[in-house]
Amino acid sequence: MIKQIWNKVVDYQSIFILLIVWEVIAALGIMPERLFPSMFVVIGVAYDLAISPLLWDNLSVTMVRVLSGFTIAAVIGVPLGIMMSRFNLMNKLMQPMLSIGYPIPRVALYPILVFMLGIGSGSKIFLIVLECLFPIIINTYYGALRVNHIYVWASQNMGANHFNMFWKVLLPATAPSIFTGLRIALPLALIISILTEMISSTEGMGYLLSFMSSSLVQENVLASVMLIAILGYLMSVILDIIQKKFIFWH
Amino acid sequence: MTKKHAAMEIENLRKVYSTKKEEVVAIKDVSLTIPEGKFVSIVGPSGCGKSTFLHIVGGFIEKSSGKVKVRGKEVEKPGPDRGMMFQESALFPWLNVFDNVAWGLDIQGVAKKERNEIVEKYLKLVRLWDFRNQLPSQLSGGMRQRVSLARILAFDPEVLLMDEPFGALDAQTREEMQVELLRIWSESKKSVLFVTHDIEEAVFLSDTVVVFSGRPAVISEVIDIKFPRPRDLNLYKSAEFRDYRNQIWDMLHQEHHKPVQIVSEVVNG
Repeated sequence: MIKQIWNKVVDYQSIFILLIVWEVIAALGIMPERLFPSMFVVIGVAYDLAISPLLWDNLSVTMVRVLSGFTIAAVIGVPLGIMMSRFNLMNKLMQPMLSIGYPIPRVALYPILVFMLGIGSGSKIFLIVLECLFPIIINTYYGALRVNHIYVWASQNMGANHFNMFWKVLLPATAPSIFTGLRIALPLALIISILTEMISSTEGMGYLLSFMSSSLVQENVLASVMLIAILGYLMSVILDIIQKKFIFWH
Repeated sequence: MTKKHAAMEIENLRKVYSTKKEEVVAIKDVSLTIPEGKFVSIVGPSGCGKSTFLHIVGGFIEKSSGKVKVRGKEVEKPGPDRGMMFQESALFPWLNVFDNVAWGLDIQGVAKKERNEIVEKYLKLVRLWDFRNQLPSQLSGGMRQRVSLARILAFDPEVLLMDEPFGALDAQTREEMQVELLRIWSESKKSVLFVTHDIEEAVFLSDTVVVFSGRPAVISEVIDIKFPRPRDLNLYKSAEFRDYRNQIWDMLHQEHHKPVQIVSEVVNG
């Protein structure tokens, strides 16, 4: 038991080192306490937040946006990526959009989206979908390209049609790469949701964050950031568990 | 009255690869007939186009011209009438042994009870029923190929195509697999077209050995192997076996020492 805890500490030693350095700086009083509060104070505020409805109301709003945007992107992106690897025309149509669209700071489109889809969840989810599509499509596409052609041949040999081929060969064979894409996309979804909520919203974690900032109390802001970090970490842990369940053969 | 057809008829099969500059003939008008119930092997130097030939018969690669018929029916695409076995394991790594063998039956809509009986029958035939819950990655190379064979036999193809199925195995496992294949084949009696670079393997297994010479692939010799069946590994030690082996070896060797030729031939300018 103690050994297990110690192993966890070793795994996350960089975080602990960072915390210690932070505490030392805070204790030395190099920066004014208002700007550089002790982590214990921040954790205290975070705890107070965590047991208040203020957090949970805003968290649920953000989570709905994150998960719906992420899910829509996965449902669109995965089949698209696989189809691109199989059909040359599809690939030819998609490639320019990917290579030109990828470097665009898509957040810059947000004000336009607000005009088109309103200030509520619609514009935010749309932007999350847009952001998540890139890593999902690109990873799925390259993963599907690398699928050993003898799996495809063997399935054709057994009389597989396109439907069987997609669901029972290409999708499982590409699953490891799909998860790579999802792992990149999930934190992006959270970031975009919070960013857009900070720009314009009356609810959500981004709103909470900007509300806290406007109060000019540093520990409140840091506590919000800390809670968001924990949220992001938990989401990646859950995705990890799902991945292990699906890709047991790797 | 239906006319009696050969198991496989290949007529004037030609494969031309086109690049921007030139057209390379990989297979040049090969005709080959495999009678019902016979085991026919193709040997040839590596890169001679023998695997390409088999992949065309399987329908995986498009031919340039010619005909491929299975029991008189012309084929163009891959299909379950021709069970194909590959050099590397084509088993799906995300399915266990049982589900791999059941896969072809499932997509063809075989009822579950019947499916389970068929899978059990063929996994027992290849002596791997006890391993049905294992993943392919947990099996040895030889066991994987036996599962592959069971998977193909399970959907009951009319003919079997084998592309160096034991090529990746060590020498001893390969010999075991040859005996195993003959035992299984003697029960199913399906016609086999077997591609290998191993002369002894071809002689040991086959009724007929077809020698390909390379680039472009043409048939340079067809040799009937007149050993009785069932055969066992002692055959390897017999003088006649060595005669067959040497005869084929000489043929491939001559091929090897032919002066280097330009391998491409321009068709239609």
